Amino acid sequence: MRSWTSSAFSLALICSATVASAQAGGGTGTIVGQVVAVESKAPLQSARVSVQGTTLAAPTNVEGRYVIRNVPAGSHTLRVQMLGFAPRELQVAVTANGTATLNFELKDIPYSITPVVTTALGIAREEKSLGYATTSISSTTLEKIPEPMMMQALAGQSAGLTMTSGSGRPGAGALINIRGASSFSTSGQPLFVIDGIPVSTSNDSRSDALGTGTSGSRQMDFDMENVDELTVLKGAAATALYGSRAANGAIIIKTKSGKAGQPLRFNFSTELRYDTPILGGYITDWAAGDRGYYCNGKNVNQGGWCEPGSNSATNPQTQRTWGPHKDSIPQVVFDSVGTVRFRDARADFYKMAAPTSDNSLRGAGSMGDLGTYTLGGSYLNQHGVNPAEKLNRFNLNGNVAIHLTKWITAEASVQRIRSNNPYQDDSFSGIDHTLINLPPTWNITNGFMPDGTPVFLSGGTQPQPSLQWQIANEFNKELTNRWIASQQLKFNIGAGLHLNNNAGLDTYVSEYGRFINQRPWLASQGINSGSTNQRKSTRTTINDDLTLSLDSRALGESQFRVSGLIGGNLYSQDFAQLTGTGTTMVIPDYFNLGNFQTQTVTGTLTTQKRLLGAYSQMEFNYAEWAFLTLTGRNDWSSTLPTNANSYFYPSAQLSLIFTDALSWRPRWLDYGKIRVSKAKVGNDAPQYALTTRYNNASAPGANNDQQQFGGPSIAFPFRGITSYISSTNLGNPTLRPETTVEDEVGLELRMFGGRVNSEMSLYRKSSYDQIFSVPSSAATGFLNISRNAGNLRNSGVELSIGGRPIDTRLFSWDGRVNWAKNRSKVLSLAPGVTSIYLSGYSWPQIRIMEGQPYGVIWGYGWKKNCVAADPCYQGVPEGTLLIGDDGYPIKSDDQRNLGTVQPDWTGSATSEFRLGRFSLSGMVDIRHGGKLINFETQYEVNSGRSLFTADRYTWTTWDGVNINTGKPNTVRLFKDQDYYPLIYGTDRAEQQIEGAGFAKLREMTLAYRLTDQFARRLSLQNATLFVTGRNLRGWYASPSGDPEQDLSQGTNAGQQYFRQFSAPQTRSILFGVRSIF
Amino acid sequence: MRFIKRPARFAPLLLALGAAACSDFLDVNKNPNAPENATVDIRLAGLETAFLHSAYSGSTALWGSEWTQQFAFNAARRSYSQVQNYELFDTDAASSWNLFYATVGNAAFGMARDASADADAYYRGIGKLFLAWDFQLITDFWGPAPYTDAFKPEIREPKYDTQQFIYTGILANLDTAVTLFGATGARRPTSNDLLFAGDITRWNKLAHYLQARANLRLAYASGEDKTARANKALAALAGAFVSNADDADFTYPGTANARNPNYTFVELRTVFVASQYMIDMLQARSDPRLPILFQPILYDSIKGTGTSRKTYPAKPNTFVGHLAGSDVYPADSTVSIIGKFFSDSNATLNIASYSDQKFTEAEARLIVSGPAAADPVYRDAIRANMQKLGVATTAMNAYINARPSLASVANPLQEIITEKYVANFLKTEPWNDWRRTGFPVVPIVPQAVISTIPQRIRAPNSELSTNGVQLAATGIPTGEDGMKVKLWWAGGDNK
Repeated sequence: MRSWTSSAFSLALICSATVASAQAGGGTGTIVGQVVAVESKAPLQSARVSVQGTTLAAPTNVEGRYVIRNVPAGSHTLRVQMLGFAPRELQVAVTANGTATLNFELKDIPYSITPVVTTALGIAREEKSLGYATTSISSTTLEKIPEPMMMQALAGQSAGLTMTSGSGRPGAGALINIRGASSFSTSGQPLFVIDGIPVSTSNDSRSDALGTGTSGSRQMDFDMENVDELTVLKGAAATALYGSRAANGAIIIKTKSGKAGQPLRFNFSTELRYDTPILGGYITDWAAGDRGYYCNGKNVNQGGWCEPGSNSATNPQTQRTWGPHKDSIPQVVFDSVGTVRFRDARADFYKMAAPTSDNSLRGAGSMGDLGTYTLGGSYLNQHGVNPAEKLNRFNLNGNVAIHLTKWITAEASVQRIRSNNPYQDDSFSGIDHTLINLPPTWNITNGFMPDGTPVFLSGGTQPQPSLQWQIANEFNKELTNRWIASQQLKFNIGAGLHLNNNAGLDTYVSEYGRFINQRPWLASQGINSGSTNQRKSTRTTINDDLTLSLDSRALGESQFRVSGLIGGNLYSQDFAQLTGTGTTMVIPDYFNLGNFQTQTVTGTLTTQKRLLGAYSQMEFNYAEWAFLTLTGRNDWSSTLPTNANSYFYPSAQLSLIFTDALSWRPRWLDYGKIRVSKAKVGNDAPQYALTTRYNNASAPGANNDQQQFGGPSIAFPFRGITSYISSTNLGNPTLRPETTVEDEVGLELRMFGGRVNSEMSLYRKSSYDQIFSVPSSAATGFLNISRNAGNLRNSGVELSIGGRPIDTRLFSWDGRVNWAKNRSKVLSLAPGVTSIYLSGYSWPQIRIMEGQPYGVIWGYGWKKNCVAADPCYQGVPEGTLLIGDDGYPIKSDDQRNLGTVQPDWTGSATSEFRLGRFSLSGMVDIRHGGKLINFETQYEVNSGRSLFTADRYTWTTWDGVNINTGKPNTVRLFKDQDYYPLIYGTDRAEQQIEGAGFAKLREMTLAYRLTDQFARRLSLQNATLFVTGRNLRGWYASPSGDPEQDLSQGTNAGQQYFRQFSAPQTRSILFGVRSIF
Repeated sequence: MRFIKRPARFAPLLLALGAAACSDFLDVNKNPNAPENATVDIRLAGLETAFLHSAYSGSTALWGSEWTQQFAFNAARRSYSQVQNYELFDTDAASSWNLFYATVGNAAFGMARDASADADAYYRGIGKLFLAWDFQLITDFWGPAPYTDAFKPEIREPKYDTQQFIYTGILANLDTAVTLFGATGARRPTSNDLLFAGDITRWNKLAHYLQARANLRLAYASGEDKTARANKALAALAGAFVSNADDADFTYPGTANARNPNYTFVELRTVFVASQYMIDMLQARSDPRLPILFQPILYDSIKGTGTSRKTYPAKPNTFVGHLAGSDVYPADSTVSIIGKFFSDSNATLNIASYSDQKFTEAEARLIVSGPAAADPVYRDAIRANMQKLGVATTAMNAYINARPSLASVANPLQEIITEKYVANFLKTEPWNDWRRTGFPVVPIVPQAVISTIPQRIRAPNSELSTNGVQLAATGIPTGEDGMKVKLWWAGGDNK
């Protein structure tokens, strides 16, 4: 039985032949043949075969076959062109009424444009017909990136996409922005779609970025090995068919599946990865102590000692690096404690991680005419540089496609994932918070005394136990069981009509627990400690797309063709969470919720969302060089008012292959395309934003001295009464959908026989009528009001140029450079509202401010001449620092804009050299400009660990004028232990701001492909051995080191630029084998 | 598979199936986590607790108490605002402002609005009473504030009204409350009334007490008739408390999330301690309340930390205060802390007392009829407070008898306010009284950030960023300088 597709196409070809032969006379012949890829022998669809010197041409069908009829008898040159492949020309002789056969093998060009691109809704479209920019990343590229987290692998892969990873912790997420952040309220993350199913990448378990840190991102569930192709849809035109959910771009993932006609093959890969922490950025050449006197840092009853004269004699555990310099340690110290060892405590704690292993086996093949199948499984066992942090992931997946009848194909795929992710707190309660303050002369390698009690890091009545005790007794666990299943039914109705139903389900249960064990040494003081917080979250997404599509190609060849589809979408998302909290542990080491004196179930949280959509896409194709695509989608969302829950948005895209249109093809230019698109995308409201609610009553405690000293608060039920109080958020029953409009133009060129490809896009995107909780004057009775307001504009340029400048049998060189610049500007917020909070503390924080780029650092700065309400001296330049009589700069009265977090530009350069069977590839990833707020600095200057204190014990004079006289400041200040905290304190954010730019050698891979003979001797089809390094080298704008250590963890755009005690990034070396047998 | 030989026939059917059952599909936007409606009786306990615990006894009450040096702050706080040195950040002001308007004010306003039925007259009265009281807190802290435009979410930038205007509204609301409490046939709250358990006569007395206090507060306001205000206060007192038994006391079980707000002083015993000023004052006057207000020190001194820590016990009943604003920080238990009567986790929180009422009466009598008439009332006021605190009768009488006659002293008002200062321990009233009268004469802390004890709280940053134009129209500086500007009732301008 031949497959239904080929019969359909044969039928179509016969029809067109009949029409054609009716028009032409005799003396002609026919040329048939097949076009395949040179290495894989895979048939190439939509290659254009033309007879040179005539207008005769034909595209290849799904089997790569073409037929050109009515070719005048004689010798002809046939040229085959196909995007992504080098064009080829061959001679053929045609006899009258004869049939000549001419087959082509085309050689692919890496880093080039792929001919067929997966677009919204998984629709495969020819690249040349697209009126917008996309980036496709193939499995061959992805396989070279040694990142267990799929999203982190996207760094530098696509111009216009910025990936920021929050920390080096296993399971930590990455934040992705496509063409700039575009939302005031949400995280602005793109939509992730796997095999047609939108999947969740949120972190549902816990998000307390400023306090205890955030749980890992559900990005961790996806296995890179299972990805066949990943497509980044950037602009609104590209995502218009997805609508609301993809307002921030979309990442479309196609998993691997069996290929028709392919015998059973197994792919096996194994990787062993070694992670080492990227440290540095702290003082290491000053000893522990205070005011110049040395202390050995041990507990008084565990051998503590201080240099005579020290005022810390009773507490040698002062966590301060304000002792003597390592070259000037007094003899008395050596006499009393022997040698003093200098070493970063972080280096003692964050060791090279236990090796991470990642094994994957997949079998795929075809069942003859019946269909294809894939079965795969992988196991990742990742260890962090903090020995208590891990990620164990099982991923089983299968895919079967069966031709049920001539007319019906059914396809089903299932992924079963189990992710186990124990991790430590981040942020203030994290280990890193302790570590960055520990003096370099402390030796923390020994965490326990011989009797098993912990070594203490501090004195007092509630001493801090060793880090070893902490990681063993205070931890978080998260176990997720997840299913992603999809099913597709394709009906070939005939006459070019196809009906396709794609249904999918993504569901998981995440069990999270935070476990704080009892501290036995406190029990003797009557302090009962120990607590737990356990949470169960369930999230289920269901998606169904039903489409009817028409391809007029099936009806016959003509210059003008129309194809299109209409479809409907049904989407639902359900989330439910139950939390239990226990305080005061009864039996130590036993974390059952029943083992706590106080047990509370802190309520259930349920959210639901439903969406219905109807859409249509029409593509008009004139002579294969002009393409016009029109789309329209209407959504009905459950989150909008019932009488106004419908919204429509259109897009139009035009693509012109000007080289074909003008038949203008200079020697250097093979292909040129201009594209233009304009699109509008609507977006719905967050759930439950329409009404004002009553919340379970509570009463906050006094907040006397900001933040640290909160008085007791009241939680209801109180005195046996349950009560409700009005929410401080006002609902808005008149919300309208949000709107994003985007204009994009682009130019794509393929030059020098396909050796160079370049692409340029310009875009301008405006997001207006954004729905967000607009802060309102409390005098209205509400702190926030849900409103449609604001206008944010992102505009930018993306450049990508790549190709294979050198290509010989023995040696080849491929390269690509991506460069993007995005400029964002908040055109307006809401009337009367000049700025809104994004993340951070009361001060400092990240805000969105009118007239500024998205995300400005907001805090107390220094008083400056003529700035805001600061004094103003004539003749002194505006912005000159105003210095007090004491010689110190002066904190401003008001918080102000201290700079933007947005980078000036981002770029990456990728290169691959191949010499025989060896290949060497690498990528450099660059972000230039932008600022971050390093909240750690204030603690580090106090403890003496900050590099800003490296110039200690020198004199300085601040450059500025005296605030009272306007005369230049001449007061000299001595930089001692008291100086730095006055300059870098919490409420002096100006000095905590650092450059966030970096350049990183993201990866470097050396691979060797076994000789076929040797491989066969091992019963392998082929095999590749490789060594890869990740984050091998970094150059940072700030002396504090890698800026990718922040609070974001893939959650909130603002937290991305807030550095506050997160696990260090890692440098990895990976050894692997990839084989097919 | 015969039945789908002609799939084209089935396509419309499938589409129809897909489109069916959609009408209910989208109907899921009703929040399952929080109700859209709650009746006033269900909301009462939440309103009372938020007002009494968070607003009336929250941060701002402690700021006033700290600035009048009833307690002192015993730690270096370079990184945070130093309230003890009169430094507030605009964000500190915002948390109180937001609480007063969006949490408490809106809840009181909503109760008065939603209890519109005749049967809900008492709830409406309680709503009006809390609304009046809340506005009094707002205007006493900030001066001008949105009143006419308040609680109208459709007005995005509510305009500010003058203090005099707001006080007119406060008194009108209290009058309405009194009228409503006199209604007959309305349903009474029961156990959902955490303050008076549904006893409307006590609510009525509280309303009268508030009327008296509000009137007297305006006695020294520019443009006000001092005697007329005092007479109005005295008139209101006729319907107010008659003994300590009428006090508005709020009780706490003392368990987790149900503790007295002043438990802060226990939890942070090393940070919030007795002030030297107040200890000295009580000792100089041999006040028997000293051991109730404060706890004696445990240690004379402490040397070392951890296991090498050595303590040197102090003599019994030694009280040591910390000099407010000093940068020398004594160790835990070598300085007195706040007494358990006020700070225990299950201590009763007094909101309005018969004693305070008597002081109000004494001051009014002083204005209307002179010191001799005020003298017995003044002594009753001290007695009421001492009885409340459980001072032994002999000690109490000895102390009261030792007070000089008001007629014999140079400044009888100073005597009244100084005694009132002790009686209103840990409340915001001493700061209000200081701003009105200048008594007691509290010294400025050595490292003061502004040149005076604050006269008001600076503008909140949330108003700066959301209602900046209206805020600027008040003409009061928005920065720290605003804290130096006197309120209208303290002798400043009515703006």
